[in-house]
Amino acid sequence: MYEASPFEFVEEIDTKLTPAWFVDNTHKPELADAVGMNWAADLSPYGFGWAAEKLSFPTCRGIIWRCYKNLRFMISPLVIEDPEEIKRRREKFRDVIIWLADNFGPEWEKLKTEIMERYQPFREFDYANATAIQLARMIADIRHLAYRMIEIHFWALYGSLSFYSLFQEFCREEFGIDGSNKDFNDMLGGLDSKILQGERELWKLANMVRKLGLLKQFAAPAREVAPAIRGTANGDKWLAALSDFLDEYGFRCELCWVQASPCWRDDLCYAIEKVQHYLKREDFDPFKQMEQTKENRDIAVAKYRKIISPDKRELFELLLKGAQYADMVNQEHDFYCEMHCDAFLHMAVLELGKRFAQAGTIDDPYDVFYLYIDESRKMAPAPERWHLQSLINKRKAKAKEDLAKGIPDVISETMSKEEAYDWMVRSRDPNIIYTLVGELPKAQPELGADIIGMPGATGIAEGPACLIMTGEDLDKVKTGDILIAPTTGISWTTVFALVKGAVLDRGGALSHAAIACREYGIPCIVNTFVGTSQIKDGQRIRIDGARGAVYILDKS
Amino acid sequence: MDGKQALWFEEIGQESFNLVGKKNANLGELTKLGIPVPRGFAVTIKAEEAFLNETGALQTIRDMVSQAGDLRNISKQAKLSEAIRSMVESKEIPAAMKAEILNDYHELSAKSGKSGAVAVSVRSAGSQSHPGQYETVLNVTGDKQLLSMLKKVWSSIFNKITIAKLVQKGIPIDQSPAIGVGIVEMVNARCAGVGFTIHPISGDLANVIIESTWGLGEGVVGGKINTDRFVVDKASLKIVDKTLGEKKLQVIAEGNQVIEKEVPPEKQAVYTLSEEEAGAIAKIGMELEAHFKEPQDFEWAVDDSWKFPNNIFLLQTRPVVGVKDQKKKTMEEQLGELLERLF
Repeated sequence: MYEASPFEFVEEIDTKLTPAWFVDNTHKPELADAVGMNWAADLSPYGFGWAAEKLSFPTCRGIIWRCYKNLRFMISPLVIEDPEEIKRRREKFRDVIIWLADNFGPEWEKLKTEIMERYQPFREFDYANATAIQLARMIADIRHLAYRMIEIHFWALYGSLSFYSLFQEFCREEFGIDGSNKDFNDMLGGLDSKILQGERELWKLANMVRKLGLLKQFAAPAREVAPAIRGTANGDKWLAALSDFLDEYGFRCELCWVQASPCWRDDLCYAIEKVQHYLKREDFDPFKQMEQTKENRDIAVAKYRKIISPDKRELFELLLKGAQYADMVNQEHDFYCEMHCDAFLHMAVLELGKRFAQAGTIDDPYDVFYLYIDESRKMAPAPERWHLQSLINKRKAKAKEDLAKGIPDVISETMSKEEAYDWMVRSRDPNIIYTLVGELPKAQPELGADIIGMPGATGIAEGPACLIMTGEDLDKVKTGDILIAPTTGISWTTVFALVKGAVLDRGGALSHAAIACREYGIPCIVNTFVGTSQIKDGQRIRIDGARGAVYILDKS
Repeated sequence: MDGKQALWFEEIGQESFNLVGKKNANLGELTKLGIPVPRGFAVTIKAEEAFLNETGALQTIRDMVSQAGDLRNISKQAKLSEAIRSMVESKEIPAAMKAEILNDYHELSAKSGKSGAVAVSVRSAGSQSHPGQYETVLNVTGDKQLLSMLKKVWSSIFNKITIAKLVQKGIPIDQSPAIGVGIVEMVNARCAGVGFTIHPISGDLANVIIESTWGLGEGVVGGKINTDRFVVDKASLKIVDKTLGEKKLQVIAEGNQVIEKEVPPEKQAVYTLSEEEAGAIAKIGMELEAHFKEPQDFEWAVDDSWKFPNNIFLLQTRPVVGVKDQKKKTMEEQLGELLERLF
């Protein structure tokens, strides 16, 4: 992708192969590395296509994919245009939906068990003491494992998100409400997930800090905390609890799909940083929050159960049950799918990088992430017989140069941005519409807002804007701020316990930030496109989640 | 006599239909649900059975029937009906039963907050639904009138239609099933009417159709008066369509009588319901439909003595028959339509 490669986006060729390309802003604002790009190119289109075929999704066969510079994935939906084909697929899809309504939950449990069993040898593998040859084999095994992982990943997402689309359509017709309505979102909230469970464990670790009298040590930067408390009775007690937590939840890289980013098990400071976020807010209780979300759900569901006409009740219940999985699976699949595989790949590649650095192939072990994994594997048998630093330096320089160029949201030869979005929506693919690309907000001059985005979570909030461009700056966030960011990733979840609301440049109704805000009961606006460029850090703003409106209150 | 002869609506529910009749059971259920229905109590089916037995009326009926001979002749049925009814109505209600009913009536009068005896409707309630088959008397006031109207409703199980049906089915006349009777506080109706939670013809379930006229709902139920018609969207509770009816006549309670009276032209020209009233009526309909799990045909009234939203009363409700079955789509069909809309 740094050199000429079929995955590299070439405007002259690629804009003729599909009507429009969209930048994928899922999972994190940070840029991918070579390993991550290569990995996603290998897995995502396959998983998308596999699940669309398996479920007979009527109007989309998945995505095609290119690498835009070394910066981002560009995607384009494989929209099905032939009405006969749509009809054929739709008929099968109806039976799939009816089957899934009763079986999605148990099936998802079965798949989680299957994948965790498959992960076991990879969790137990001794990466640190493996030889380069063993690591080369391990990387091949991880890729094989990841093929199954991505099938499960997209099966679960297509399944649950399709219910979300159908339920929204049903609610529009029957009740006149959709994703911008609090009741609608309330009905779908309150299902526990492995991600929320992990957050509650972090919160418990924060309470333990208070109980053990370690607050003073935790006021230091995250990196200094573990050395400061190690060797003291209470410090060791806390670190033992952290170690238990990491055994369960530590197989994750700080950034999703960025295997160069550190793994929580190897570098304690990432989990410690999350604990520090929870220490900032004493009154937050995720257990109470969970109860509140459940209560809101039950109230909303009871309300619409009352008004739904009796002959449509069965369909209402069927779609509701399926759609309630959408938020949950959309969060939880990260834990069961990419997080583990990211971590395994990170550990294997980094260890290989260490062997390479020892052999003089590269200078720094982390430079290995500037190599495609197939390149690294080929060098593994005799790394000392390769000298790659000049290639690495060239790639690093190119990355820096490309970054300065910026990334377009949409690339099309024939369509305006609006037309491109209209075309994309014809895919009806909920992964694309509600997560990867999001919807285009409509102008609403009557609101008199400074910025308009799409509703992510309802509610109104006012407070100082806190501009965060990457996950590294997250400790800047103060209680009561309104988060302004390009997009967010799963590792940002803790800050949603602190902020009053969030405004994201990119994202859809089922993006990480939108779901997290709904779980935490705060407003969220996504796909403003211009939030981070127009809102200044510290500026007072008011946001109205249901309308997607941002008001800048002090424009000085 | 065992047990109570009269039960407050609060004491009964849907399961009580064999005890007090279907309409009363419904009103009991609705009272429990918190739906605004007029206050009242039910005289049990057993009470009528006891009345007919203990007064000897039943035996007299058997004698009258055997003397009447061949009953296939309609004019003979009519004559017999008349004779039985006046005989039944001439009987004295047994003292204990009378005391219990009057006691409840006095309590109802006290609860109504009005001075003196409260005006009530005396409503028939069979254990099965037979709309319009038995008598219902409106605007009944005072002990004496109550008892005589109660007997009038009771005797309506021997009215011409019922006797004709019994003869047709070969059931002995004296086995005409007894009915429950509802003693229900009258609503001081400014306007009243019916509502359907399903379109009676198309089977469309998106709206509540409301028919409304000035005065008592008898004008609408009887089909005599050209009513206002409102179509209220179930989702938004907003009126999506309305048609002004001519409403030249209204049925009102005057003294002890229910009469038809002309509506002044200025009232003919305006709608009987405001948007919020129509919405509130529709909402009650939807609650009924949700609770009973099928589309409902219900009667309501707007009481002039109260202010919105406390002025709306439900009088009775029953499932809409005949429409649902032919129009009901299976869940799979509905899902197919939804998929076609979306994809």
